[in-house]
Amino acid sequence: MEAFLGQFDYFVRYVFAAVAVVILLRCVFSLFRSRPRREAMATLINLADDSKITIENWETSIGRSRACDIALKDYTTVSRFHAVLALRKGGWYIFDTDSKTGVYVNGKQISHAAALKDGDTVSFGNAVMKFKSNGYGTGAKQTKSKKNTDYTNATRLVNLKDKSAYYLSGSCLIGRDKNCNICLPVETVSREHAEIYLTRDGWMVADLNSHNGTYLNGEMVFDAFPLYDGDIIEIGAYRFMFRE
Amino acid sequence: MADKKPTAKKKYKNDNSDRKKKRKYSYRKPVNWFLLLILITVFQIFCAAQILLNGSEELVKSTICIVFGAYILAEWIYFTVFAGVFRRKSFEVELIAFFLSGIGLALTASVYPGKAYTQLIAIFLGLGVFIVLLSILSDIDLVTKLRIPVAVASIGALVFTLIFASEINGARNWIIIGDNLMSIQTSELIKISFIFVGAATLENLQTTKKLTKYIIFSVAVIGLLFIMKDFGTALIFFVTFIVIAFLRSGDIKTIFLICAGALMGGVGIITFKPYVANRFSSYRHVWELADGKGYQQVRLLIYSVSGGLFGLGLGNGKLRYVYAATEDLAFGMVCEEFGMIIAFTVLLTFVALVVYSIRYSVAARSSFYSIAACAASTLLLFQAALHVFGATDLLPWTGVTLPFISRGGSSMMCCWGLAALIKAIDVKTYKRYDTNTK
Repeated sequence: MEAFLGQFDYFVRYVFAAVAVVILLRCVFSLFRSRPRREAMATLINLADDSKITIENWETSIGRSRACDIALKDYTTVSRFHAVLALRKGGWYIFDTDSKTGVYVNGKQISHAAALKDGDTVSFGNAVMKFKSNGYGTGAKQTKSKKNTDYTNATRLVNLKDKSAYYLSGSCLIGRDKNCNICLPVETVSREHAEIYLTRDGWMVADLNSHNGTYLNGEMVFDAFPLYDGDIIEIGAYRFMFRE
Repeated sequence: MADKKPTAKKKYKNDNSDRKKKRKYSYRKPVNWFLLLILITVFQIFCAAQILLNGSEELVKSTICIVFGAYILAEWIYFTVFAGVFRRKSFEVELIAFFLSGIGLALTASVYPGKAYTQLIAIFLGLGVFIVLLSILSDIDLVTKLRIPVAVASIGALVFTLIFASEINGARNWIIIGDNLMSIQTSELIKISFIFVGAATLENLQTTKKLTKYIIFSVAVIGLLFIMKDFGTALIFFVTFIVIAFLRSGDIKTIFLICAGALMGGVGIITFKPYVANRFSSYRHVWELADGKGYQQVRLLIYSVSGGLFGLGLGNGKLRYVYAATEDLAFGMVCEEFGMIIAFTVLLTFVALVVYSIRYSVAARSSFYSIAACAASTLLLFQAALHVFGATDLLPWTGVTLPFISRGGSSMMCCWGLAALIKAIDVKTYKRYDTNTK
């Protein structure tokens, strides 16, 4: 017994080092590998020259200064830090950050903040822009009301075109072939195009050597990617949103 | 998007067509918490076994068993609840926090067995802070509303501390309740609220006028800490302030101005208040004062070398007999008893958290999360750096704690709170409410 305890004391230090390195490095690499997602959440169209500005952040600052996210350098009537465009629970909002010439929504000056809808016209000084929401910020209320009526909390794929939903359980094959769980009879979809399946770590999407490829949030899927709530999967011309 | 696709496809065809066939089903997995938690449990059971094995006579064996048993049980309950019931997907930050707190708990239980229970309760309180803060952070509107009350409460707490605090180890920042029943270091708890208040800019993003208010708040906090002679914490707050100010304004010129001002102020204080310089008189001279002011640092330097790569094993070290071994000298303890490999991996983890929050900040749900996570991880890294370099005499020694590992209730709660701020940056933490779905 004594000898064994002595040996334990001697060897456990190597176990400690190995275990600590494995735990910490595994966590660190996992942190590094998580993919930051950037999507076009909304667009501002400058009505003067029809140029488009894509909004990719939740808060976007607008002004003449170079430090702003949207720098309107050539507009002398725009303050250096003019306004902030932000996505909140209720939808999109525009905030006037003490600008000199004010912010106008559909021709009316706003006092501090105002809600923005798809198609609204926003003007900062003499820069006039049309606001186009990309589907963000409108979903909160609708999802809520629907949750009360049926069991929409289940894992499902929502076709973004006609809002029809495919409910998922276990593994699900997507392709042109009739034997697939989700059959998409279009030429651009391969016979067995992609598979969505459940692992211990959650849902995964895998591309099955398809001809046209599978895209997850605009990124090509080349082996298998984990899926999270709100991910957009593109297969051929179809666009699905993954919900869970 | 449309014009991007063909290029992506082309690139993929050239590079990955072979690879794809080989690893069709290998995927970028989120971390497998189950496996890692088993490893963490093994680590902690071995720690407990070694403490029992090397412990002295007066060690109460049941205490160690209960403390470690409760801690391991808490870990499993936490992960089962959040993975099973709340369906959370990513657990990296919690795993790191639990593992590091476990090392701290092992050191405390080994060196001061009588204080093991206190440390365990501190970790549980920290876990509570973590869970509560994470749920508060999920609601941005609530965060905006809480900004002013939290700022007022922080200043109030610091003023209260200044009036009623007692002086321990040269810094007047401890509130002692009852007869040594509980001691709270307010400056640690203020760290969370400092970032919380600073990061909640939201609709006032990049407005210099609103930054002025925050500058006034920061000057008040840092000034009060200076009066308390808590220079280490004041320095940490200052670095955090610079990070937040830069992230909020994006203006490097203002930052230079602030730094220059602070530098001049610092030089002025050291010139006109000799007691400040006196606190740091042993800096760069610890070996000359090896049995005086530099006693702890010299012992740390000697003993941490004797640990070597793999350490001497828990309970075999000599540094444990030096005053404040598990607080101010925690890094030396890790080096001596756990070895250099673990000590450096721990430090690398703090660096990694900073890199992670910077990388991920572009995709955060809101600028609040980006700023808060960057500031929190920078604070942790800077505090760790100040601890390590201070104890090894590369920087003036201020006696700040090593995040998660040093013994101390307030410090533990602060670290878990900061972990919550880092965790919140990940979009996977919360349910999304932004997308249009049916």
